[in-house]
Amino acid sequence: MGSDREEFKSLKCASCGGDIVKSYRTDDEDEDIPVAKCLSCGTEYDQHTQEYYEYFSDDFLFDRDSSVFKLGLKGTLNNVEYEIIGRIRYQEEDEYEKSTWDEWLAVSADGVYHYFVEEEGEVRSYEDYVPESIDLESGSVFIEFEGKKIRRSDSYVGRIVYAEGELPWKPEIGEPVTCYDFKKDGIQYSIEQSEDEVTISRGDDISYKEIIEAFSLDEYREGFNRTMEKRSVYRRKRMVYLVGFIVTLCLSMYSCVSETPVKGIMNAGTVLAGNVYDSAERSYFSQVLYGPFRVEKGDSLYEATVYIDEKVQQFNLEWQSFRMMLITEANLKKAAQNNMSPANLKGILGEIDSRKEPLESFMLSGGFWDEQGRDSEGYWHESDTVSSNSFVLDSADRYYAYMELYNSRPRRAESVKITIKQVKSYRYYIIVMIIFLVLMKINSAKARAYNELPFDLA
Amino acid sequence: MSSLQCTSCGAPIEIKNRFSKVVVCEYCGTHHRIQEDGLAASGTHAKLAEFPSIFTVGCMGSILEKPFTALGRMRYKYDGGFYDEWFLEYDSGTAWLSEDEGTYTLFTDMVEAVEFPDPASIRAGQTITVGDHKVMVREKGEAVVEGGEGELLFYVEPGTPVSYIDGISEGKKISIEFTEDEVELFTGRPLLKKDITVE
Repeated sequence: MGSDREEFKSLKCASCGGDIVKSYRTDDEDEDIPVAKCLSCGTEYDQHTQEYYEYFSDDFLFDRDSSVFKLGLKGTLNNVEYEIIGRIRYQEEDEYEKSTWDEWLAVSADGVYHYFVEEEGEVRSYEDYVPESIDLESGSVFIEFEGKKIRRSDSYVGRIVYAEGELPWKPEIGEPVTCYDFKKDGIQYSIEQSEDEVTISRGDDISYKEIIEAFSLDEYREGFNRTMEKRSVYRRKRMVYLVGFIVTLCLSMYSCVSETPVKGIMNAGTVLAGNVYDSAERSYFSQVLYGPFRVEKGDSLYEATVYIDEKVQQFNLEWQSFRMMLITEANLKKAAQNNMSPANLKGILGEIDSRKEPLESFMLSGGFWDEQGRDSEGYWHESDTVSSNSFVLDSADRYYAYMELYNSRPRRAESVKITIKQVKSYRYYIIVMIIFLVLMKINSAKARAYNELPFDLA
Repeated sequence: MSSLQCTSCGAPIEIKNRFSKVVVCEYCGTHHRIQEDGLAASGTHAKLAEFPSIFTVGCMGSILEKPFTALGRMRYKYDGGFYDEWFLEYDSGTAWLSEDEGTYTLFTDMVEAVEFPDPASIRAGQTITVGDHKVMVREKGEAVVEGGEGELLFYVEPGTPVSYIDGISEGKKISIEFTEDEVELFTGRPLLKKDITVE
């Protein structure tokens, strides 16, 4: 049960005549549903009862004056003179929040009744229609209208919450009507079924511009024109940002495919140590030096990938971790005091972590694994044999790639390959793309929502 | 055309159509059944109140480019107001034209329905079979005969309750009227004011 209870009106319960208050009840999904509750007998009236609308109708009327139409308005639309003589407002039964539409009754110079339906910033003009065939009982799932099947589940119930002016019948607040709105062959139709009557009408869209002109609503003309102008500006901006988004999308896609590989990395490799068993780590340790190779551009974005080439050696139910470092030729020679023998390099590089200054320009570390097992879904086998990372290399130079490998079992060092490619900075394009997208959305929303008029404009 | 005299006030009464069964004296409002040997009074009732209409008893013109003469009118009262049914001489025959809230429907075909579902069970939205016609019920209601004027095809005592069903069948409006004694089904087409010319 909700805790909000406020005195709403001095209306009486239909069951016992007790006082009614506004209350809430909690449904199965923990949502608070507004109800009218009798203090005496506890009877609750929810939105599926007529009494609910008698108690809550004010909640749906706060904007009743915010309409382009009003009683007594006269004008000529499509060469037919109309006078607005009445209005009925409906609320959609299944919505707790306000979800209303107004049906404005107009009488033409011919004495023919006509409805202008205003809902969510749109107006349609409806007139009576006699279909070639209609069957509202053709099945439990569909109704039939001139050969078209319309789902019953597409219908909704409207409840009258307000009526004013001259109307052809006496509407009751809370009176329900089942509505079907649909299009057939591009034409809008509406079927409204109440207990006593079925009305079938055909509708045409009418723009607010036509209404303002037809009914000489001078007080809205300027506001309408300004609104349309502003919306047009926002739409143009949206287009510009859309173009910007598409351009940056294309550039980012181009940068993904236009990569320049660094050549010759794997051409010359020296195994400094091969599968040396480390009893402390219980693994086999290898050291390999590749290079030198030339990296052409400095201050650029690169992507390094280290992976297992199973054409060289299968990787099966084991693990391997690695460290790959890029060291400039100059740095390595200096550290090795120009003695580039494998034995000397092995010692220098083996102690690389103890150096005061880093020798490497870039380091990538990672691991590979191949595992299998059983779980509730059965047998599984998974592996990960590729590791990548992006980095910026400061200078164009000649480099060595030094690799340390730790394996669970002896492996050929050359089964682990390195590729490095220069990539365009597509990430920056993605950031720009996102900015364009956000700006596009903002302007799109403004183009829809900007409104200087006192009534909704779609 | 035959000329007779009102049995109440003696005013001349002209019968313009051989199918007319009832005539109302335009002077005193006495309803007369038209019999072979003359007129038999059925009672005097108040004249119908005048409401704006493009028709008057005796007016002539064309509907859908076919000539008509308005011979008489029956008025029915219901919750929403009233509606008139004009008895017309139309296109070498007769027709009924319903005038309701500014809408006009021309009913030219009439079928006496032999089989008809129980009226109490009929509701709006239901599809019923009346003779050979499948009719979707648009509206079901009760009305009371207010009165008539001019020449009419049938006689119904003012104050008589009438049940009616408005429906749709095969692209046409259907009007079903039933009393204790009979059920009549009329098929009609809606008219626009521009379809009617009154001279």
